[in-house]
Amino acid sequence: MLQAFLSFLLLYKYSALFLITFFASFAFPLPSSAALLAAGAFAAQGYLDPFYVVLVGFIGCILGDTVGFFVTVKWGTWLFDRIGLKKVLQSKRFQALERYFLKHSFSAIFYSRFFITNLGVPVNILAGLSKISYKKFLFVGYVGELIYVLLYAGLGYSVDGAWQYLSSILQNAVALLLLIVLIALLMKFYFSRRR
Amino acid sequence: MLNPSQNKTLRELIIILPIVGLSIIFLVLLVKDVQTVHRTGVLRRNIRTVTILDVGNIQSWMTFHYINTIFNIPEVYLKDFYQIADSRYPNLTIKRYVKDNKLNELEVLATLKQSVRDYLTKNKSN
Repeated sequence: MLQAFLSFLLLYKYSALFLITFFASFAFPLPSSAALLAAGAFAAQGYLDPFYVVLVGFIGCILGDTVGFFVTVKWGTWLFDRIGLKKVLQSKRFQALERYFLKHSFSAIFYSRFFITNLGVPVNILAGLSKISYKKFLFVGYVGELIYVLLYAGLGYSVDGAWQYLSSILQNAVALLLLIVLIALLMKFYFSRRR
Repeated sequence: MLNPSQNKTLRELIIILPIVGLSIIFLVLLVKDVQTVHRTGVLRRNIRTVTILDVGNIQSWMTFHYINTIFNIPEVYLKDFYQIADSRYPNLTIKRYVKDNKLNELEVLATLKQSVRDYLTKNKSN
């Protein structure tokens, strides 16, 4: 699967990078981090221009975030109704999650951009459904995305031919980190209920 | 029949066990990846300049254009070598070329690596 995206990146260069980062930030589970690492490595090999890799990757990410956020603000509730998840939105647990998110929205948006990247899309959806200030979302999100693009493309650039090893390590590390955060949250929720 | 307290514990276990299981799987994968990197030493090597050794890294998802660029091979070299008539060349992946011409992928990759090696050796000695 990843190989198809790599071929796409080699064939269509910056347009492919834009489409991958845009749709990954918008809502689709695409290998955006691997694409940025690869693009960074291709730039180090002289196949792509590092400046355009960062620029196009950044534009793709922020546009994807922005469109995803506004789509959820405008049609999020309607969409959840249509797919039969209206009860989820009205449940006490979801409202508690929404309150928790609003309390920690800054860190949630910021760190989900570049640290626990798997949480990016769920955080965008939650931000849209919670209807948080779009200025706050966009500002924190844009700063986070800039760090994300510079970090991943920069890592790809610096490790060059070894980017595939690094991609695998980062993918597993981020998944592990996500699960650890999930366990910590579940334990916090569990102990707060017992008290 | 389970009482409500046991039922609750069971529900919590159903949630937490797969998460712990997945954490262990990802931890093992991570350790394996780090060991591979440590064993091969790929992150320690300075591989900024593509050398004859890196020809082994050529894979079927790569395009002819990419191979020509990173190994600094003239566009006509591989075109003539494989007698490629496809108008998409060099923006053509090896996988697509193999599929369109009903060839064996491993064989094509092996001959491609050899032809690149030959070119680099010849060029190096000149």
